[in-house]
Amino acid sequence: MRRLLRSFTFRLMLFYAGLFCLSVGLLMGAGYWLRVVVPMDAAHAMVDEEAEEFCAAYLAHGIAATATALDRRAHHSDGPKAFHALLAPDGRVLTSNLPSWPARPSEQLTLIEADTFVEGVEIDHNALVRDRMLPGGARLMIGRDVEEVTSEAEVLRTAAVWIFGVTLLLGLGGGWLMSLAIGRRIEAVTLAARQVMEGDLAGRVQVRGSNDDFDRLGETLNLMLSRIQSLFQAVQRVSDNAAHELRTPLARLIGRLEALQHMAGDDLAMRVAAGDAIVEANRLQQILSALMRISRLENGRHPLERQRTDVVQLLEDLEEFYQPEAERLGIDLVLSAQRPLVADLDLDLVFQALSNLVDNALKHAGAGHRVELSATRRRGELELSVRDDGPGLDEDEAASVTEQFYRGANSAAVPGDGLGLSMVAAIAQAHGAELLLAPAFPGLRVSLVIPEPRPARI
Amino acid sequence: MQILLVEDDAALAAHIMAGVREAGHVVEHCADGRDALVRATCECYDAIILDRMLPTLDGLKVLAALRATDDATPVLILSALGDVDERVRGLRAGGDDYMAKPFAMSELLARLETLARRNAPVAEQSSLLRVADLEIDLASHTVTRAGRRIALTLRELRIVAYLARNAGRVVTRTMLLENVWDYNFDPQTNIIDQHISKLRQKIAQDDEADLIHTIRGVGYMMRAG
Repeated sequence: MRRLLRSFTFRLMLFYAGLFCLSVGLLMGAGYWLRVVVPMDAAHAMVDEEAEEFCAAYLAHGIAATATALDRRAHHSDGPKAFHALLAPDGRVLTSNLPSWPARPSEQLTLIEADTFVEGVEIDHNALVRDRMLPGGARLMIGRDVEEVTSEAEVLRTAAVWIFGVTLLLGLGGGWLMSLAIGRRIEAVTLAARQVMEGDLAGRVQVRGSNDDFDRLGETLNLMLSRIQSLFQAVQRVSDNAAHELRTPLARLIGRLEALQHMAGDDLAMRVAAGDAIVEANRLQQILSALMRISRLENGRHPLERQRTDVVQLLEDLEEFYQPEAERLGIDLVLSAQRPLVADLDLDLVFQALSNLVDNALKHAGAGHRVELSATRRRGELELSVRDDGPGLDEDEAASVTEQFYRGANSAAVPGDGLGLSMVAAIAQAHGAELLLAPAFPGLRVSLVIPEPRPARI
Repeated sequence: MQILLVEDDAALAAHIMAGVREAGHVVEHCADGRDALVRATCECYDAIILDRMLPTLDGLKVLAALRATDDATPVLILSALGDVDERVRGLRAGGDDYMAKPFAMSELLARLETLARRNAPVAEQSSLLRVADLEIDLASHTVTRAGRRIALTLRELRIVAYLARNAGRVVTRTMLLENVWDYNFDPQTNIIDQHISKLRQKIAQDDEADLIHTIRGVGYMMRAG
């Protein structure tokens, strides 16, 4: 829910709906004011004025004359129908055309229902009445019909409920459509950027040609991506050339050393020296090709060849491959995995990664320890792990072991060039997998958590 | 053997030619792709060593053109592009073997020997292999030595069979790795040696002669005595 609230498009939708409702509300308020408030105020003023007039007439001419004047007003008056009631101090009704009134006079203006019957047909009236106690105890009620205004108010109020409901729906719907359109274009930009980040440098934002703001953003982004692509390709060309240019001289170097070794004949010391030099040159070559491979994997230039793989078979082959070495080192190498366990993997790469992990575990665990290979599937993920109960890693080291050429603090005596885990990390990345190093109490557990590829969206 | 070397780097070519000649083969050299294709189609070689990056015509195109004419001469691709997927591409294009530069001369020679033999009309598919008193029956998966049955795992059987098939020739560790294990990968440590030493213990008991010999700095060879 919080994520929904934070989403820009959702907030845009709410904002749009709010603004829409507000403007409709303002329009309706103005209508109400013009059609209800203003005429009602006019009626107020009129009733008040007339009440004053009749008050003055009562004081000047007495109660009987006032009653006559009231009757005359009821029959011959301009404007809305006039209502009145005059009560003598003893409560007797002197004259009235109101059907009823409150028992006690009130200070405020009151609305009194005053329906009349003309030839048997009921006509609705609603009288706005000023109720006054006159000096001497008489009670005077003066009113005017405001039926038109009150019924208008009622219609407007009923309409307001409906209009507001419909407005809210329209606002939310419109906002949703608008945010959908904007969201889709933002999504296109995001997708293109991610595509490039994942190594497909040819990914571009689609420009609609309408030359709007999003098109301009897309064009700018595309220019930037092209620039990145050309820079990246330049770097790749350099590194490809460097690798190629390094390999050939290295090949010549090894050739010369072999010739040298051959020429040494019976001179054993020289033969050994040349042999050692060849070993070193081969090491150099291995580092070079490992680096090239890692960089190709990281750049997404090494295409994955996923195939349906029996994961348990893969682990069995791995276990079998390392078993003699484990026996030599006095390490117990075991496998725990249950068939069926099938996944789409690049067989060679995953085997390479696991082989590096087992190799590390065997080198670091030490005699008398145990190395366990395992595979489990849970919630759409395949977890392949290599666990040893050797000395393990402290947390600081765990963070840096995947760096190229990083060698652990206690690994001076262990052969290696510090590229094994970098390779595993690169292979994991190519599979969209996670490489986890966690303490296993005792020892270390290294896991590749590979998400199952979802069926491609069409 | 008659060998054609196609390599544009002069120094490397000279080195390879010296090595191959010393091993007792006749070698011809050309440095250009088009030229190589002409020679390969006109003359008959036992094997071709082919570089991938060549002037005028790319190595893989030469290979494709050669294979298109039903020429089955064994081709060993030699390339600075050493990554696994490049290797797979080379083999798919019709190469019989693939080596990344830089390489050891001994490795090249060992591979050449097994390659050229592939074409020889020997009873290659025979299911019974025999080296001295060691008998390998591939059909029934049994290995016996002087009548004594030796229990081997399937992988060990494949190692023995590969060594026996190339008896008398050097087999390098990478050749074993490529041919016996079904994965293209680089083991960090030399694990093959451990497999061989285990196998040796099983094959040679007591005072029996060792059949698998270590060739220092190169690999192994199976032969009697």
